[in-house]
Amino acid sequence: MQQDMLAAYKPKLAGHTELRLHRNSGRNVLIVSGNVTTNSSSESTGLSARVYNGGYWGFASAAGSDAKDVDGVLDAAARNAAFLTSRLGTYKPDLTALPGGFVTSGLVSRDADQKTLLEFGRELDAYIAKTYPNLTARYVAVRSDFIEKSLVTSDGADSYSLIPRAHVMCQLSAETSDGVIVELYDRLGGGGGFWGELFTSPESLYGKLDALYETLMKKRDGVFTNAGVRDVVLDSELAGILAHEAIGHTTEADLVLGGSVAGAFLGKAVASELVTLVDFANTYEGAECPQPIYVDDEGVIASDARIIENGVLRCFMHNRESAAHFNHAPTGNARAYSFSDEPLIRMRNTAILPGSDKLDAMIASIDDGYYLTHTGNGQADLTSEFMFGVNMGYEIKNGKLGRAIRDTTISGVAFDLLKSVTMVSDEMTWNSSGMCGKKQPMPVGMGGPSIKCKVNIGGR
Amino acid sequence: MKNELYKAAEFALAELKTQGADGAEVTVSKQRTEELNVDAGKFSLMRTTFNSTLTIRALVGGRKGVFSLNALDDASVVKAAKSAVESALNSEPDDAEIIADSIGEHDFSSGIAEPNLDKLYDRIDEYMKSVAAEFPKVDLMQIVTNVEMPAMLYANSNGTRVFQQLGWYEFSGTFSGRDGEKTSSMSGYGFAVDDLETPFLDIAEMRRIHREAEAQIETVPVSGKFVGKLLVAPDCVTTFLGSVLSNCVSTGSLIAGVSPWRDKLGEPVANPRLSLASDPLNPAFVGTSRLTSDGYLVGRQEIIADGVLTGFLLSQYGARKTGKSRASSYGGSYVMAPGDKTFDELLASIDEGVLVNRFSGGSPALNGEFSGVAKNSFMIRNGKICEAVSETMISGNLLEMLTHVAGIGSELINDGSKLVPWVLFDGVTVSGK
Repeated sequence: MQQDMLAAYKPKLAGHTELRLHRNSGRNVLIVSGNVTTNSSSESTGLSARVYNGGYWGFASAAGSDAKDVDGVLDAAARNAAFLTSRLGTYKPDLTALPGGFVTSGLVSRDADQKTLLEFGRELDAYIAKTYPNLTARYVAVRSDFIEKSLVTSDGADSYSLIPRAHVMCQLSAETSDGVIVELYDRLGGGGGFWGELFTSPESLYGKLDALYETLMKKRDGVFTNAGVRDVVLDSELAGILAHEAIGHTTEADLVLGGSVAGAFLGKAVASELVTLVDFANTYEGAECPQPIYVDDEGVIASDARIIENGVLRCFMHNRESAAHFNHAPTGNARAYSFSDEPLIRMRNTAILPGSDKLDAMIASIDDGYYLTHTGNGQADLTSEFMFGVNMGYEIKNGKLGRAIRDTTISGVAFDLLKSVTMVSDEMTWNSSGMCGKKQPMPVGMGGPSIKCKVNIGGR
Repeated sequence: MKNELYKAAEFALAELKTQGADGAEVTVSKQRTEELNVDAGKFSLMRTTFNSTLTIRALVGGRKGVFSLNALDDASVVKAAKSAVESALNSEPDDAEIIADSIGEHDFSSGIAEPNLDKLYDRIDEYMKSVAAEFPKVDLMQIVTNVEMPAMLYANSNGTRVFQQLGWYEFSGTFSGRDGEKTSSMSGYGFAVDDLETPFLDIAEMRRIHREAEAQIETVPVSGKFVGKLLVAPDCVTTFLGSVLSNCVSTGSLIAGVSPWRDKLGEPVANPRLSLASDPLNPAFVGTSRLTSDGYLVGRQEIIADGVLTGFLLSQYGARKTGKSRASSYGGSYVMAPGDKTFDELLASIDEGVLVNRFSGGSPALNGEFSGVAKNSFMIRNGKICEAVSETMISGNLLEMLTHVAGIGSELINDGSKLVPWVLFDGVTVSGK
């Protein structure tokens, strides 16, 4: 990308101004029972400017990467901020300048071509069709995307980032003896990185497909859950969504300003001492996280937000404005999804840290409850009441796994649930296949261990 | 602008032919969006965005490739055409993939041509002052107001050329009730309009939702578990119906052969009180496209009439794949037939139940089984709205619920994109602590 083009404008940026050149690129293949229903790729590139004036932001963007458009977006952004100050006057001082450094991703795009993704998907689909002819339907989704950004700010920040990810997902459907169709979806592989680094051959995923099929067969004979508050073990596959939905959102500083209950809990015990929750900027135990952010879209050098430490709420996730409001250090959580989006406070890689328990011992410790293994969508609330869909799990009876269960939903008040945590496993599972939704979509990483707690489960 | 779109589309179609496509469709657009945002009760952001998009669907020997990018210059068009054809060459032949027959040349325009940002600002300012005066315990978390002004041209290799210029305003508000450190669940409402003549708080359900946010600061979890009635607000009715339509009548579920209604055309699937259509040309709606995504003029598509399944939301591809009829509309712009009960009459008929404004739950299973949290909701006892509830789950079967409709409201609520009444469902499990 034309980083040099932006750098030339650095001396011209007045007040607090951000200038960004931003590209999103994606490939998408979906094969439904042998039919290639989606075979598409897309690119979107544009320039944006954001200006802070008297407590208000002006933002403007235009498609393309032509240097002749830079003055246009800078002028329009300044004009928009001036519109608000002309109506409302100035109510806040300028943002405090932060030291801006030069941060650049060492990555060079190694995007796989559409043919590679399509052939990979078709081979997987052919394997399923041949090996498991009794399925009602099969879906194979193969995706890769990356976001590439150059940013300069009036503080002197000058950054370039390229964040790729690639995933293969599969959903299988089968009919029960009474004619009901049940489905099960799972991520077969992938994460942060380019396709070629994450996938070798379709054959390497056959084992996971076999496991998905076996699990679906158990779900086909599954029972409905018994609604109510139950002892559960949330598998490490679910810990990420717990970290993200149940707690993460309530501690985003814009939601705190909007009334989140977490606002009153800073410095207080909100969870069992076994719980430590961190929104990692880019690195966990020496390895890069799925969504590594070194500098955010306001030019802030990104740092870890250690939200809950041994059960105590320690901090929120901030952009520059909220950090100034709370007089906290900025964390570098301001992220924009596309060139036409303004940066919002977003999570990066939110995880509950592993403990020392073994999963088997956690299951063995429950007389009557559930072990929940696959999740779907999730949602949070200002009250910290959360829910997420559960697509697979098992009864636990007298410390042993019992019958499989059908789709259900779990919910609870996050800060109550966290106090009910009595065991935390020594595993760590990351997931970055989905999108978080908050005005704009955003790829995020989430992770954690298996957790034993109490939760409200839907059912009959 | 129109000429620029025609030039890009014609060039793209010619280039696709040169590259070896047997058939192609091209959608080009130029879009301007203006936005005013309020965060934590204060104006925060004014945003202007310009974008141009080009989407190409190319067919080569029945094989499909799609490429999209946001540029209309000749070099970008050549790149997009080449990429789409390359993708197609690598795909599988599929007889169901065709380009729509020509429907000729059309030119539609509707809604606003120029945004009135001063008036939009004044309406937001008035709305915030009205909320502060009428609902002092409502905290405005975020308001996003947009002016959307897309100009689009669809062109295909069979001769169709449809140009559309649309313009409308959108409001989306998120707020909560707040008293000291106590807060209600997040509440919200959105609507679309093509003028700014009406104060925002007077539109659709805005005033009721704000009033109820104040009443939701204090909540009580439902105790135990019971099977009862749900009085469901129009927005939440649409959420439930959306899940049913996705699982039962959408192209995706029908192609996969997993729709529970795949063989039920002409059969009863709901209570005879229930009728539903997708009706994008309804004059109540703003900003709706006159064209399907695959190049046909839209019309009204009946889905359920007096409880009987009368249509699927099948695209051309879906129709050819399943041997069923292509729909006149592929979804959205839903219109339900009104019932014969006022809201008060529906309420009075409930001995024990829950008034549900919002459902936050896992995606319902194909067979309709669902469970999730009743948000912004109230207990109903003896025909009266009682305490607000929290930590309360509802579960049941959506397909069975459609047959257990105990009443439909006589008033259709219009938010600019749907016309839906209150609906009373019976036989739903409510569980709390």
